[in-house]
Amino acid sequence: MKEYVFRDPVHGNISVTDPTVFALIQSPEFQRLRRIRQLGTSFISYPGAEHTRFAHSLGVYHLMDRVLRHLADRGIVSLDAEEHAIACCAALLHDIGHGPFSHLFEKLGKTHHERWVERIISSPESGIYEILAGRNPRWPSRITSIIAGTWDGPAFVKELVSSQVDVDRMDYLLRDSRMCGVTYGQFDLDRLIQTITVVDGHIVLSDKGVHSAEEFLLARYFMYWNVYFHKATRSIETILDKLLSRAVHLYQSGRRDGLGYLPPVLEPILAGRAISLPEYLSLDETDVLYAIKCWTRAADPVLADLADRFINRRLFSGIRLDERLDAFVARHDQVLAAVQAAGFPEPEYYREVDKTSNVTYSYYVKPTEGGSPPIQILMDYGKPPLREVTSVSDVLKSIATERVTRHVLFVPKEAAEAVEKVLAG
Amino acid sequence: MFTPYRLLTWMLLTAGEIRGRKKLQKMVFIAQSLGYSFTEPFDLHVWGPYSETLAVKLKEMTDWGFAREEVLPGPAGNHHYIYTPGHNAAQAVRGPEAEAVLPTELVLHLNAQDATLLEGVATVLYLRSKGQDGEAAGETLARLKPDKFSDPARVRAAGIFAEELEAYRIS
Repeated sequence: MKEYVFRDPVHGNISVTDPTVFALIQSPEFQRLRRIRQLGTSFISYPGAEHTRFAHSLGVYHLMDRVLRHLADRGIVSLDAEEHAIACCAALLHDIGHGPFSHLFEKLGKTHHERWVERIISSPESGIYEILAGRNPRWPSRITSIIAGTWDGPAFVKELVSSQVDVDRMDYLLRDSRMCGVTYGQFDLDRLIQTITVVDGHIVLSDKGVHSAEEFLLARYFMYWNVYFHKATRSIETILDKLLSRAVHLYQSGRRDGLGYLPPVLEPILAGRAISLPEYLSLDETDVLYAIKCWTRAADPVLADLADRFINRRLFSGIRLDERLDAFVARHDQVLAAVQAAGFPEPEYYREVDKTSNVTYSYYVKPTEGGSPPIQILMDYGKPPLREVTSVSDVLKSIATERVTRHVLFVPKEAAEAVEKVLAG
Repeated sequence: MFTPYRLLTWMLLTAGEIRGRKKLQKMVFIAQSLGYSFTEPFDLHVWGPYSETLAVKLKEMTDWGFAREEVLPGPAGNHHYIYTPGHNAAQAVRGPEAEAVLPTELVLHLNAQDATLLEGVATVLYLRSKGQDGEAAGETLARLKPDKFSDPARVRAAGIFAEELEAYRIS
């Protein structure tokens, strides 16, 4: 078939020559990803963070193809043409289940995006299924199994889709970093790929890759604290969470009039009923943003205020709690009263403790019981030949020793001083 | 206010003590599979279903004083983790909304099992949720974990235990 080339800001030319891959990209289900931002509300903190899951998914596809070619060209391991294509399709489709502002809508819809991935790939209602099954009836289940981690083919294929050194993380660090206009997420991609090898069917890095691994994991560490857990982003996400909770409350308590305009595609979500696949696929961020803009004129004053805060970037103030967690536990009723006294009669919509577990991204911590498999380095001297990366890198040992958590209390600026006083006792 | 921590704190208060991070992860996953309202996303890792979100949440709970973590040195230079309710645990489950819906009997039953059995059970439940039937899930378990489940009797035991747990299913 004709070669299609996508001009990408991170990888340059991304070439597609497989007709199935091109058909997948052209499908409405995949085109929908153009309307879902990769970083949700981060555009509030970084004006350039408008890139989408569409571009990221293309990047992940490209990197999977590149890493598999590297492994084959070096004689490390070679997949047959069919398995190579299946692996690339899995990479392309790994985020197909994301909804608008992913994390928040998963909470409202009560279904994790990975469940939607399975449904979109495996359901005959979906165009994606039709394309894949048209190529080979076994492809939908095989691709789903790679993404779900239950694939019975070579383990390194599923590890390239999801593990501590996967093509998803490689792409999102470089892309998020470039689009946010920061250098925290940059690392030497060429060198990292060059050092990837396979031992006993699993992905490991050669010992020449220690410094690439350091750069890659430090990139994750810096991006985590500077971009993904940025205070302004977490503040606006808290506001979005609260305003959607308010909209759900109004709808479910029979106060539909308080909402004003409601896009029909949002109705099943607000009603809390099970969402069908076509309903889910018809929903994207344009619907949500339009609804929020309309809700700035809602009859309900709480919803109108929260919507206005979101649209016009009137952020909540963040108060670090880490040294005062016990004080907060003991006095949280007084905190609520202080927020109420500052002019917010329904204070539960105006205070929230944000914490690191709310952030979808993570950085590397030392392997523990039951945790993610560690990054292994293949040493060319000494024994054992395979060593966990922090045992050969003092730099990584220092960031990976303990999981660091952070708790931030968000309240309106108008209430912040009173809340500080309550916490000080 | 402390709703995100309520169910897990309740589990700790009910169990009294949970030995091992792996065991705690599998207990939460199994309860979630049976319909109880744990919301953490799980992926399949080498040791079965695992949630990074849950691992971070547990660390937050120790910061808040809802959980207490004791670390003991293991025989091979590794560590064993023991979880008990923390000094603020009662605060996380107080109030009328604190009637956490998680049967005491289920918590105690899971906590009484060996962590490896729970790993097998959790993996079988995960595979079933991905559309594999009982027999296929057992075969996949044996293939994914040959070091622990090469003996068909162990695979059967995991499958039987998973079936027994259906009595606790709420959705």
